[in-house]
Amino acid sequence: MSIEFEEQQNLILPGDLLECEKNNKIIHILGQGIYLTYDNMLYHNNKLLATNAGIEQYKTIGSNNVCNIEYNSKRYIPQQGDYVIATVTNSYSTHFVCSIANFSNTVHLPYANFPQATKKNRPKYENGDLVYCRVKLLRKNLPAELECMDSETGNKDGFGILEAEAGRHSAVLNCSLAYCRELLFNDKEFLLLTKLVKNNLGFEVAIGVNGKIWICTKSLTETLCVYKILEACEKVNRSEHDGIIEKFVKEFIK
Amino acid sequence: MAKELELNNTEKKFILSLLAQNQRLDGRKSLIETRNLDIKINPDAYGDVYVSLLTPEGSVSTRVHCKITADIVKPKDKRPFEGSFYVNCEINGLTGLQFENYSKPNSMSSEGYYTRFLESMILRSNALDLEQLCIIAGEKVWDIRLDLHVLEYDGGFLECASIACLTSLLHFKRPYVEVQNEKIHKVYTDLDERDGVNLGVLHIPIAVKFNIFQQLPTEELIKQSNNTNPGKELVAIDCTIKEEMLSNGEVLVALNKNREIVQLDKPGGVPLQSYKLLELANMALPMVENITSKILKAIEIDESKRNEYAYLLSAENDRYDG
Repeated sequence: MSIEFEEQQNLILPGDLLECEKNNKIIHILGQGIYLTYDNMLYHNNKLLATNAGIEQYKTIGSNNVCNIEYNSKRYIPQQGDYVIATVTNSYSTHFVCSIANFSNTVHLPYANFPQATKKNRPKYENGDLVYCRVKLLRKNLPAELECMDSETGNKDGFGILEAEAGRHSAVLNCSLAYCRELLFNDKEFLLLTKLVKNNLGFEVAIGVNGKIWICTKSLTETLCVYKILEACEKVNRSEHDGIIEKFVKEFIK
Repeated sequence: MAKELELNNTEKKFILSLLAQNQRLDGRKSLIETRNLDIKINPDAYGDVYVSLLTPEGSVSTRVHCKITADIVKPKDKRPFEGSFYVNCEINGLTGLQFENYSKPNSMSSEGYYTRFLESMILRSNALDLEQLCIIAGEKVWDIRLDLHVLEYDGGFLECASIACLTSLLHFKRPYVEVQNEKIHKVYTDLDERDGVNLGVLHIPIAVKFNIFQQLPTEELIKQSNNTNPGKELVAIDCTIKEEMLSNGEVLVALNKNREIVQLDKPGGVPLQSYKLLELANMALPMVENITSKILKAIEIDESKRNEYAYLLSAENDRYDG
């Protein structure tokens, strides 16, 4: 029972009823920006409303219909299962205290959520280090919990500290949330990273959906070049990306 | 809820290693390069100025609004011939969320410190002639109040604010007052009826802030107590907020283009050798000259726009020297 919507992009405003609600389609998983009213649970006429202005998106994953609203914002609010780049701000006997967005509530990263965790084996991170992790658990009135492994398999799966090796230079860029999601998930249409590699810019990259992009290259000028390109490409149309890349590569590398 | 702006180690290391290579994160190519200055004067009022610092890419990083209001008050008993001048500035959560926890003073949000610096810079150097503000000695004087609003904040507050203060002081016109028999006969508040009077600005002091980045750890500096290795520290002008957070000390200098140091302050931080201070003041001089000419040009352009038809009313005729 998959949903077949036309390829139209529907702008929706806060408080509007979703399109699927009008067509009586069943949604199994609710994504960001959607609110389920529960005032009339008894009569099964609870409704799906939008809480943010954006574009409706529908997808079918397996047998589940997924719906979310694509909107842009600057401040990140944790959502379960998101890949984020967190900054360690403090450490206690059981967990690290991390920050995933400036001026916001802190989140916890317990030592038990690392691969091969035992009581004695604890990771040695310093304050200010960047950690690539996933949001594991959200609880009301309590800080969110992060994890540094795939909790189903117990593997490391690329999570962990983001650190430049000796002789390499890293930087972290703050940008809007929609741009980060575009870079991370839309790799078929949004070819910015591929274009950078085509221009002989080799770099490591980690993208957190909390608006942070970590890059690492072998020289400082190259890092600055990639940083500037990613920063400049955020605010312009996709067609202008080639020109920007060319301009910065000329300015910094040759 | 609102917490500090947090810098992570990667960012710190990146910014410091860029500074060591004479580069800045916002695209400037040198440590002593300032951001572009943009002065906008409200065409409908006098002394209403917007000053912003633009990054090389053209986006606004710091923006300040400055407005002057004048009032007639009774002078202080000790100084019956002098008017009064007051700078009011509050940085609130609108500027940036790091200023929301105003109860906790820190180096970044010490707005009181900076506004006192500006006020004493203007008053103690006699940049604003207070005696011209006297209407009737001991009875009525003008009270000039300057309101500063910080609309966007990315470092460079002191430069931006001092430029805005001086531009609006130069531009402001107080109403003309008619005095008869030692009593105020009429105040011409409508400037169309009778033109206002400019304030007496005697010179133009501009404040510049230097941030010092020390490249050796503090323990080593203490060991070499005689400081035999000068030039180990980096000095940057017009720092962004992130650079300010990483700096080990700051020096505030207010200068005018007549090569007079009006005010000098060094609130803590790493030790500096005395000759370095003179070096810094010399470094600031071309910058101050540049800014002064920009301020005067902005006022001149505004003046010519206002008096578009002045030449029609002028009795001056073209001289013919045959």
